[in-house]
Amino acid sequence: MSTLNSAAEQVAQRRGLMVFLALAVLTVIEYIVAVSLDSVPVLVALLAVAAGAKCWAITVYFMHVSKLWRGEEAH
Amino acid sequence: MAATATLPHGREVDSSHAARRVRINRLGLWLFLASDGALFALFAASRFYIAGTAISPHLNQLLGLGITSLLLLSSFTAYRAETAFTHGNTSHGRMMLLATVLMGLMFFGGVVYEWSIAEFSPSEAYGTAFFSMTGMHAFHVVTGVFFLLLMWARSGDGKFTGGTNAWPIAAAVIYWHFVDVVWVFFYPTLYLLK
Repeated sequence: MSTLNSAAEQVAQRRGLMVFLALAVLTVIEYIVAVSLDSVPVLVALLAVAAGAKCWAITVYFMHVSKLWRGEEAH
Repeated sequence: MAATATLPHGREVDSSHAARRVRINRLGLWLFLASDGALFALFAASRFYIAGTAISPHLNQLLGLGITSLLLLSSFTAYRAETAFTHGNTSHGRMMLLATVLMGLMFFGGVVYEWSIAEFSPSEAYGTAFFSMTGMHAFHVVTGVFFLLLMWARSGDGKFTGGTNAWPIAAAVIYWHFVDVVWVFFYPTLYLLK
């Protein structure tokens, strides 16, 4: 059984869990909005906002895009 | 005495050189992802051009939601793998890599199943968009699974552990997250519009 090694790793893994939960909630909201809304322009706008938010979260927290300009010490 | 890091092929270099090398590699990866992302953006734009916002009433919405959730969960396990390798926790990292591969294969299986039960043809406007977009994305899923499996197979001796040594793992994981980001836009585009 593998375990987490350090406090720093635990903090990073906890942050990953929070991001994943936020992504899951946004996905459920997308689905609910899609099945309950009839107005296509409003639906397109809301889905675009949700997808943009999910893209931002993955790019920033999972893909560490800031390391491109901050170097390897970022995060 | 300068700190050293070990490159994947075994040569030792000082850590500042290793960090600079990883930074250049990271820039190259992101440039590749930008060009690949442009391709996917064109696919999405063509979907609206040829089929408007219409979707097929025969789509299996629960299957779409299921495979989307699976891909999101695989991004989380991929993140856990990268974090574990970066902090020197190879055994946990390898386990998370395998979990990511398993979920990637299940996602691919879901797409194949969706194709097999689709009640619309590739010759229809929506069908053209659906099969081309999911097909191109599934191809990226398969290549991502290949890269992750390669990293799993090569990480057994601990050479990808800690700091810049973990870059090969990070690169494969970043690619996997990119595949997820693409689906973040493809899922509402293909399944949730009206």
